[in-house]
Amino acid sequence: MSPGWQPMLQALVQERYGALVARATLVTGTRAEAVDIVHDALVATFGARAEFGTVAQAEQYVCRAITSRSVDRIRRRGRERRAVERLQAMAPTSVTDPEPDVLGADVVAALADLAPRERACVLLRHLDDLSVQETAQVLALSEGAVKRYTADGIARLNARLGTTTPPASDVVTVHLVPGEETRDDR
Amino acid sequence: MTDDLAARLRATRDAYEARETDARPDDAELAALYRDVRRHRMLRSVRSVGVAAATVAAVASVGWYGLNVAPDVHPAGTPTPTGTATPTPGPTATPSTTPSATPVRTPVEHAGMPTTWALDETVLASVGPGWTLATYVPSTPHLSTPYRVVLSSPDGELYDVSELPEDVVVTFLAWGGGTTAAVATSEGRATYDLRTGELTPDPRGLPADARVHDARGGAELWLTSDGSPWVVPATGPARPVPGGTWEVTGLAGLSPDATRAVAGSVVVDLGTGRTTSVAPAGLDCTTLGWADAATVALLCTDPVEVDPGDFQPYLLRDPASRPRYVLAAADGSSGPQVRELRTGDLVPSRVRALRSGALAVAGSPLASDPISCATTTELRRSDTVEQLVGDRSTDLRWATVTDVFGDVVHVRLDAACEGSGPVELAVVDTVTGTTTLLPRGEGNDQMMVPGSAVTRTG
Repeated sequence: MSPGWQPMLQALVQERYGALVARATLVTGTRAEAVDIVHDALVATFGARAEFGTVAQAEQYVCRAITSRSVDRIRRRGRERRAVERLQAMAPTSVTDPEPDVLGADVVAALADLAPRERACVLLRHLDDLSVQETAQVLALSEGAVKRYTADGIARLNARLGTTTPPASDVVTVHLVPGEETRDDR
Repeated sequence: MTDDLAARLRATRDAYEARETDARPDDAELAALYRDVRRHRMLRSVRSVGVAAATVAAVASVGWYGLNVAPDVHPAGTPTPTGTATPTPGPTATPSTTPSATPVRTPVEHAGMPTTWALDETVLASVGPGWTLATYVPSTPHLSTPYRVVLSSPDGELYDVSELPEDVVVTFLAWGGGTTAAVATSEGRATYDLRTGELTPDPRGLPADARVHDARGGAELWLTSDGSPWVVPATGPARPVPGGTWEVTGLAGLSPDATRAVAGSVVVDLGTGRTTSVAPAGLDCTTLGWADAATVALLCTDPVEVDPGDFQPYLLRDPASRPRYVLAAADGSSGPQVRELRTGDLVPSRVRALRSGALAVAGSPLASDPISCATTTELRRSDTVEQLVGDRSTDLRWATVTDVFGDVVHVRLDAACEGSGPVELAVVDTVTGTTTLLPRGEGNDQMMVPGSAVTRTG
């Protein structure tokens, strides 16, 4: 009687662990914290529900959990502490921080300078191709807030990286007011 | 989107993926991952919440906490300490060398386990009210360490029942003191035989993908992978709950009479499928449990930031969010009764109704820091408050109510707020005032600690 979740978790870790860490590095900016947040996201996902038909489905869910968890500022403090502990406990070969001159290092650095919600919105919208509505659901934000964070994040990235982003109909200036963000009842 | 920025983002992701192609968790990390997932799945909502402040204030005249709500009564300004009814838990339950019920007993030693005695027919025949059937699980990442099942007598003697097959996680659902117990495993509902240790599938007609969410008074609530709820009554076949699927991200708890369930802050009539939202409008609420068969207890705050990727209920992220204790009629027949908590008040994380009408409450005092795990457990009657567990090991800082059986409360004592560490389980009989401790095992790396447990009631 082997737990049903275990084969899927095993397959996900075996096949896509590196991809999850890579994704988390974009979100966190450091590999050490990326490893930690991947752990947390896997535990939250498979510890609570985790009935996936394919590895791709599981990976997609964990990727969203990684992004959404990254914007939790209060828990971040504990995560940083655990990341330090984990880093200290790891074998020297276990962690390799990205080389500064590798492809994309400037993008990671630019992402790291964004506010957590800006970064999360940009990644979900422009890397995962989620709609505004889907992004709002993942991050428990209002759609207006998603548009604003995305627009602000893109503007800062374009300014720093020299990239361009064609105007999108859903990327508009929205003036937030206190209490605009909504969420479910828990 | 294929704009320049999106292309750069994808190129960066691909480059980092390529660099991480061979990345895998090392053995210790992998073991920790499986351990943490197991603990989450096994304990489900056992570990609720708690706080940084350690001071415990016992207060009296707190009828608002129970059924007869008096929202305007606020006793915090003039606390009246009460005595602790719970006897101090005894030392680690080392089996006596002068047994009275069994003339000859054989000690059983297993790595990491506390000392146990061999189980025989004489012991099985002596099982009665107050006996507890429990699993012992690894406290540290040892994937290969199978769980064990033990019987605990009311006086703290532990009897070795069996070793479970490797990687099998068992949650006890119901046990009447006999030689079989209803359990949930990762593969569904089963019957556990105390004599042989065998698990025999007993789905009662449940779909194959159903997973248990709660068990109360012999009834069980299960959900399929698509969120279809099923009820397994104390006797007879399982039946689907009408009304469609559920999206459960919080507690899915059965009412004490098992006629309703609360999921999130929505109450579902298990007979008709009718739903009733019980959360006050405009507040963020977490369900704490059932205050009685007709009343749901909630913790509500002003809206605060939330982490949707976190499936654990939160207790209090922002002390300035004006936490309120709310009692809501399950059928919506009357408006919720709301009491705002103030500094020093217990911010509850879990509420469980006892057969006597008293409440077992876990939580932490409201202070200026966010609350992550519960530190305090209390027994609240109509006009008194007592600590459920008095003295405990100094390293077991965290405490929460994990379950209630009749008038018996299970209090889990943890050394760690989150993650692994020593654990002990206090079985508190609120009628007799006796406490039986299921202790942690021996050693550090190999330590086994109590997991799922069920107590035979009278």
